[in-house]
Amino acid sequence: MEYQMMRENNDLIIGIRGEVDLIKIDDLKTSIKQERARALVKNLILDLRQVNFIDSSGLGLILTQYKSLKEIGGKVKIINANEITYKILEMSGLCKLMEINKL
Amino acid sequence: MQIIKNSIKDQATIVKNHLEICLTSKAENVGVARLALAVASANAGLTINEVEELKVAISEAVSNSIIHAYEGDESQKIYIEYIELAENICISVTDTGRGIENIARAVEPEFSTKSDRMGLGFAFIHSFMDKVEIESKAGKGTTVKMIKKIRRA
Repeated sequence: MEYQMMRENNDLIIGIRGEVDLIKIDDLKTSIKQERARALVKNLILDLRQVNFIDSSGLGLILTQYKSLKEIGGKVKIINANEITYKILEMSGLCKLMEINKL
Repeated sequence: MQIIKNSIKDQATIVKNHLEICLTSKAENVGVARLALAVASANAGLTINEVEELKVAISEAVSNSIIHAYEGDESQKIYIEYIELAENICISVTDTGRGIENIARAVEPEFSTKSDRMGLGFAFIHSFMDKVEIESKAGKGTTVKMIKKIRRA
């Protein structure tokens, strides 16, 4: 997994590439934490266009961010989820909590 | 190993392919296990979607061993066995970690002992595989056995 972060006002946009599993998930977690500590982040937008695999390690991170951003009135949005990624997100119930756009 | 043994018996023990993989309990090996079994199961005739499902199940089982059974200790071993039969793919993922005290509880969706995890590992395994059996002994380890049917066209 590789990722790139970008800021737009209070939005943190992360473009993720590759396979999202246990490896490097803590690294991404830390990067988000640092970015949120640096300046106010209200919304997190995850661009999954180039993600070809995700499991519950990735979903755990999304849920944690959703919960903590909700506390400050923010939200998580997922864009460009491919078919299998969308299926996993749907099965996990995350679709009910946040806006998820398919590729 | 009961479901796998039964399955082997049913299909007159014609093993079409057999893999045994031993992995160190490191996070990067989740991808290694997933990739190896994805290639093998695609060759066995699973569809692209079925391979994707199997990949999630493997990922969850191996991640469980790393996170829960060994609690991050990277010096331990995870054993994977893959057997391709005429109609089934049988996979077992075994660790010698702490074991699951309450299997019924562990497989409940959204139950997790770790706050930053969704507790969906076993739910995904059950959804994506045709048969699942979990054997575990506290302090001894856990084996997750999974069967995926090969629906040949």
